[in-house]
Amino acid sequence: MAEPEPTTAAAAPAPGRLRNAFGGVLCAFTLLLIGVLAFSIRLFSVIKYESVIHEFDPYFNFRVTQFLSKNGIYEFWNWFDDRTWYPLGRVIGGTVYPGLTLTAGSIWWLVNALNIPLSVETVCVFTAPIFSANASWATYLLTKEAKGTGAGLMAAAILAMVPSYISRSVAGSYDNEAVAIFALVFTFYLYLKTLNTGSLFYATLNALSYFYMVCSWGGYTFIINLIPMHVLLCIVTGRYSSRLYIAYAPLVILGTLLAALVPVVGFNAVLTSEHFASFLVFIILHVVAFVYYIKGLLTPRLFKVAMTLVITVGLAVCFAVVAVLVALVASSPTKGWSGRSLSLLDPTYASKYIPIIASVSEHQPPTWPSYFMDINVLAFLVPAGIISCFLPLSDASSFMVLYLVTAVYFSGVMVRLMLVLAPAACILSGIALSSAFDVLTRSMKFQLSKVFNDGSAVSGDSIAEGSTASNDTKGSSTSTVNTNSAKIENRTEKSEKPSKKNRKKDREVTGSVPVKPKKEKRLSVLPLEASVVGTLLLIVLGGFYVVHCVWAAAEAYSAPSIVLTSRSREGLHVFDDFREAYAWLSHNTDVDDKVASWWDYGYQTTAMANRTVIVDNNTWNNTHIATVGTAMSSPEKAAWEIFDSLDVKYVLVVFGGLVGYPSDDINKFLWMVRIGGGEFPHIKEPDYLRDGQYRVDSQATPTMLNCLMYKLCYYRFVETDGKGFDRVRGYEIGKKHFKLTHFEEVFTTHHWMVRIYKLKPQKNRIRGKLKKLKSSSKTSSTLAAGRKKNPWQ
Amino acid sequence: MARRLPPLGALLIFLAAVVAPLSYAVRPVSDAHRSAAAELFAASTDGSLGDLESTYEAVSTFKILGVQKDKKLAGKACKLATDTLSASSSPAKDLFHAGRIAAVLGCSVDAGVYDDVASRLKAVIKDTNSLLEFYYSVGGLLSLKEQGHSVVLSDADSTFHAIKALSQSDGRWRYDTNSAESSTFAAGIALEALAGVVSLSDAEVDPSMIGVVKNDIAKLFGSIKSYDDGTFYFDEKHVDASEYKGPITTSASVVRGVTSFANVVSGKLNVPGEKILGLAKFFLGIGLPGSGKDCFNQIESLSLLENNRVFVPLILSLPSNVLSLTSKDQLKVEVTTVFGSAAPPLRVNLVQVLGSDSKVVTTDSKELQFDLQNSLHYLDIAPLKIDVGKYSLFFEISLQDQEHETVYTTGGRNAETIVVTGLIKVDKAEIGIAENDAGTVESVEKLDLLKGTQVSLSANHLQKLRLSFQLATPLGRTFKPHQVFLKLKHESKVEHLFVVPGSARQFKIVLDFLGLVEKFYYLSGRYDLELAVGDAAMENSFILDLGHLELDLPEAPEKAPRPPAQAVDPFSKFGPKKEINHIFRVPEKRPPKEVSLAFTGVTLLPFIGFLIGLMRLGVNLKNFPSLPGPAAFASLFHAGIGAVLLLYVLFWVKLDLFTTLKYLGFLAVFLVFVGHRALSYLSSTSTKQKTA
Amino acid sequence: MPKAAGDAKLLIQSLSKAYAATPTNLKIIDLYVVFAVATAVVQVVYMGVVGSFPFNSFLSGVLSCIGTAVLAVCLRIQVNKDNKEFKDLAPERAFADFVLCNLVLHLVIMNFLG
Repeated sequence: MAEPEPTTAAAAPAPGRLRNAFGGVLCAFTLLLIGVLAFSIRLFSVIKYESVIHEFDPYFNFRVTQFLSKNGIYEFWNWFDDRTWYPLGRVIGGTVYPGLTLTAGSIWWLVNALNIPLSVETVCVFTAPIFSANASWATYLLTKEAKGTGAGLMAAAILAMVPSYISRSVAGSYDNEAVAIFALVFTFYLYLKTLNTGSLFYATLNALSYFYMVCSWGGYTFIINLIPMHVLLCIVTGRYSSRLYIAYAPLVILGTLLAALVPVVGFNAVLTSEHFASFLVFIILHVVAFVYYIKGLLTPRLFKVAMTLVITVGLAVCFAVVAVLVALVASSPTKGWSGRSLSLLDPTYASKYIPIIASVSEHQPPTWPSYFMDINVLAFLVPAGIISCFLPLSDASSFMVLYLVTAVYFSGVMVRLMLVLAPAACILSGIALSSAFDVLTRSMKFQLSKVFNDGSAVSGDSIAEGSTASNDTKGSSTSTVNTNSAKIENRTEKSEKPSKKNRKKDREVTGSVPVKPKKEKRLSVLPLEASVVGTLLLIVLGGFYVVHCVWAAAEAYSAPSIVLTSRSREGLHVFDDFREAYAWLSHNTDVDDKVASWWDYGYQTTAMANRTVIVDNNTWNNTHIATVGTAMSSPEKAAWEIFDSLDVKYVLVVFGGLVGYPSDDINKFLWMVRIGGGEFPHIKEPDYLRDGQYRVDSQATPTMLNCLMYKLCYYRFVETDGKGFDRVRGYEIGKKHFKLTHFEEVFTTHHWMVRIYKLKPQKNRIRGKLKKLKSSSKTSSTLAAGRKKNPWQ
Repeated sequence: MARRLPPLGALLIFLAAVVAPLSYAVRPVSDAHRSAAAELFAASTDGSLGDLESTYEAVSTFKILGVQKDKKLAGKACKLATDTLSASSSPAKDLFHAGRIAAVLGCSVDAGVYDDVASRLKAVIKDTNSLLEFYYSVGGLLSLKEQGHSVVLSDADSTFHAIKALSQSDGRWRYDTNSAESSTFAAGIALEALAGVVSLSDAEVDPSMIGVVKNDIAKLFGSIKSYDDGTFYFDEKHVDASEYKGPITTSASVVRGVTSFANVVSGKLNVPGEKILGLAKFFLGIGLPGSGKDCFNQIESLSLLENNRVFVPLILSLPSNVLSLTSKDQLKVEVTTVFGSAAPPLRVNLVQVLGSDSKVVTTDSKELQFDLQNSLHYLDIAPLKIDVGKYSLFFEISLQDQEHETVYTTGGRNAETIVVTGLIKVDKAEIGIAENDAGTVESVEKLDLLKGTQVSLSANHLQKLRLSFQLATPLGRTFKPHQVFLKLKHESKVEHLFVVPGSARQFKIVLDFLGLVEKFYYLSGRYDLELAVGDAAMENSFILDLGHLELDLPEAPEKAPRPPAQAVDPFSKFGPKKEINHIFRVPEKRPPKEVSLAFTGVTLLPFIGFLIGLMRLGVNLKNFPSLPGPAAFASLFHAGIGAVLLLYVLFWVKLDLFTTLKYLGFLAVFLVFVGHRALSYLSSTSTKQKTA
Repeated sequence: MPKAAGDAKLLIQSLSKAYAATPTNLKIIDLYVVFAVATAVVQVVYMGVVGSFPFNSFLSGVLSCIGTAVLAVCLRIQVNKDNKEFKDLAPERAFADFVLCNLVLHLVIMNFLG
């Protein structure tokens, strides 16, 4: 199935070749359109808001990119950033995945080399859409390897607008995932390509693209575990071939070496147990390969003898290696699996042990609606895709199935891994759709050609043509079709049932192409009505999918949480408080002032206000974050001491109570308490809980009402409306009138969303006395009012 | 009372700090200024005094103060000045400073240079409208003139008008015609420039203009500011950070301008004398300035005030303002000019004495006798019946002959602050233990605080400690010292301070231990008693060890406050911190050299084995193309591979990644081409063989 | 055990016999593989003796050997005449891939060598 054209050419020499050329052009054209679609559907954020970097991490990446483009690669490589994690600082070069930054940096450099003056920010904003176009092309290639051009085009089209991918790659969300997905799919494609051709050349490319993936995203461990699983599967199912060896063995060696080149991975590539699976499989593969070689050499009788020998030896080797690995795990710095990976295997791990990981919303397990939101109808098409992958089962299609299954599991663990699921779902539904259309259209053509014996053609729109054309070339490849016509029967039944339940594919006009009826006679076909209805239903469903995707892209996923909007009767309301606050910081505070805030805002503060922060979104130091959490949840004086010991000048809190901005610090407060309490036992969560929940209204606990976060958020809040009604929590706050003794409010943004406080200077020992003196002197010299004390006397 | 007071030592220091301002008084310029100037203008390492301006400030300050600097320094300064003067490119500002330096040091500069300079400066004057330019050039010309070089400003009137055009209605001036904001500093400069113009002009400058300028000066003095101790100073009306000079510089420039203007014009400026006096007091009040510039401004303006044609201020000052009753000190007053030179004959009256609480002690005027040989006015304070304490005296100075009135200003009343000290009588001191109901006193011991008798008491938590004594001044009035403390010090160095409250003359404290057990941390045992009585006016302040007190307090209950850890000595926290020793990561252990070398050898063994194996297999190169073309390509191919490997080695040795990749790119293209040719030839031959 | 021993001997003989049949160029590749693996083993032994301090050097040393061996095996598989899977792949093409792969591998090695 992988190479449909030759068979067709054999079947119908002259018109076949012509049609292939035609199909090729159409295919290229369609791909171009898909790329444009993928790019343009992600521009909603730019159109609706402005060309701005989105929420948190992207700002860090943006800052790094700026640094890179200003100071060059070597400066970047050993850049020690003293603006974050005060007083620790952070070695940026060694702790980031440089793929994204380097990509954007080189794009910027290239563009400027071509004398196209683009700002770094513009490049960063548009990196994600560009790479999603690449990703959809990579998807085309991948699916083509597995199931042929039609499925490829369909999968590419679906992936171009799958919401869960859009959510991470709209213009401006300049994050690792944006390029990582492309790298992921492309690596898989090259793996399958190597598997199908068994050429060392592709194996090399495969290793290189794996390298790019490692540079780009921590998710590369998914690849380095999935591919071994697939190899193992092939071996177990007796599908071993020397192509498998060529596809895998070089990848492990080269890939490991290349991965070790990335500073942030370094020796972990051989020391941590995320990678051990690949080594184990590497050994097993060699044993198996050796077995097969011997088998080739020997007569079956002797082979039995040899078998026992080799197997025993092989097993011995395996055990030895396993022992070594176990020893390595014990001795490895991270004690094997790092926290995030562990929370992959055991979904409850993080929330149990690592509050920081649990506190990130995208590390929570997803809910069912989020599945529907993110992959929509694909969720129902996937089973059909799996089925069609099994007939016939090839190495590639088995890989698809494996990919899907693992991705589904992981996505069930973390919301953010929906992203990994998306390509798999797209590919499989693409396969499902294409095979469904394959059957439907073929049977229709057959019926039609029976009805009017001159089936002259009307060619539909581009994609339809591309897909149908290639589909029925596949379909009409005599040998395969004949042999498993029976199977095709029930496959169509299976993929029909879903289609009855009203699901389908996007913009598709049935077009019939002239074919020779004699071939069709031997095919089992569906009744005309059924196929027409099925097709129409599929088209309708596709319509829904497209509508949903566009809606998701336009409404759900385009908000750059740095600028907020709200619709009200008097029209669109824009809240630009964050930038207002950061601008204030950068203009009104000293360059070396330290700003403390909850870690979510660390990246933005360093990037937009260029001020030193205590903690930021790269949560590598639990204790440090816990210190800030403790300060936020301590009473004012204790907090002041903590902040003063950290040399903090300003404290920044985000408060949504006035405009009803839900993700503010009061709602994040429970994490501050938990993380702080995890390190400093004198912070006890129950002190803040009233009957099991955090509340700041009149029933709130005194600890809650006295903690710094409450005071900073609600200071002078009652002055806005007479009674201090919190729009987010939806009730009046508990303590309304209070004074700040150790902090003074220096800035509050227009909608009160960001409030900045300054630590009052330390009280002087004898200040009280001096005050008395001054007052007395004032009273005594009231007659001499308006006269100044001579400073020199 | 509730919070523990800081240690006694700290309090005494604080007391000293509080008293310090009282001992301040305006004193004329003295040697202190000379030494201060000497170190403020210390020559830098290369023996120079910095740039032109600071050099000028240094040399002129030295000249005014009569400080002798070594010739080398002067030589250097002269050289700097002459170089600048002879350099044809130096701007008016540098010429100005250089000229003045030359004028001060009397450097020898030949007339040719001066003609040149003068012409250039005149040219500047012709075509500028900036006040500073005027100031510099006119000043430069003036300095030339001082050195006996004849300079004549031909069109003095126009220049005068040009400068005058910059004046504002409120007496302040603008820096140049197109700058809006005006400043007092500029006014001083302008006046000085005008004075220069007048003195340079060959003809008489239009007197009406002079009159106008005099008006301006009057207005300028209208905007003078004052401190509450009767000192006057000039400052910018509204301060902007860019051009702000600070009061010293501003006042100095005004003084310079006014005095120099007054010197060149005929007739007197109508400037009130007390303002001049106030200015003088202001400059003296600065004391020893911190920066060379301030020092220069202070000294120069004082020297200008020393003899000017407006008013010469006379400063009334006290050699010492602490008078002891025990040693029957006399109240001494001296009246001098700012530089301490003698004043004309005059009369000083003590007209009023105010007590510390500003209530009148005496108002009857007494004339001070005059002591010729050391020109002092003195008075016995015994008849004044003034007691220990702090007083402010008011003097009136009246010049003896009238014509001096127009020359000198004395400011009429002068206020001075003095502190009168004396011995304080301490008596009726008794200490004792009382039962809780204040009635029956158990044991009361008289003690003579002045001799320091030791008592030893014992009490439990139900009793009270009573301490009482009386203080009286030499004149038998009540005296309330600044601090009266009773300190209880436990063996474990926990100490507690109590302020002894005082009524009219009776000081009495009652410690009710029942209320204090918490404060004492339930610490039973021996407490040392210490009484401290101190005041600035009290010559016999004392810290007295009264003995000890055996106190037994109830057992400490659970979670009673633990006594705080006592610092070994209260100043240890100012001592050096203990040194931080850094932790370096230990270097990994490396194998001995031999082992490594041996293994390097061993790694070669498989290679040898490989070669041997090849021999045994009988490898041959018969497949190597024999035809010249393909052979060339094939060899080039291998050469290319070799080159790439060589490049890798270089990369390892010294190249960095990018240069390597660049070269690699070229090599790769070459390699692909050559390799394709070679291999395709091979494949074709092999296929031929297959077919054949 | 005599039977097993006999089997083993028989096995060895037939193995060597079968192997003798393999063409020379394959033998060369085999030799090359053996050479690479042996070198790797030597380095591992060295590591065992003196510890793996410059870990990147050790890693690159061993991995370069193993890598070469693996690549050589791949080459052998591809140029093997009686391997049906690679009919359409000319041995020269295979060799070109092999060279390319090796160059990339060793570039990485050099970079990693430190």
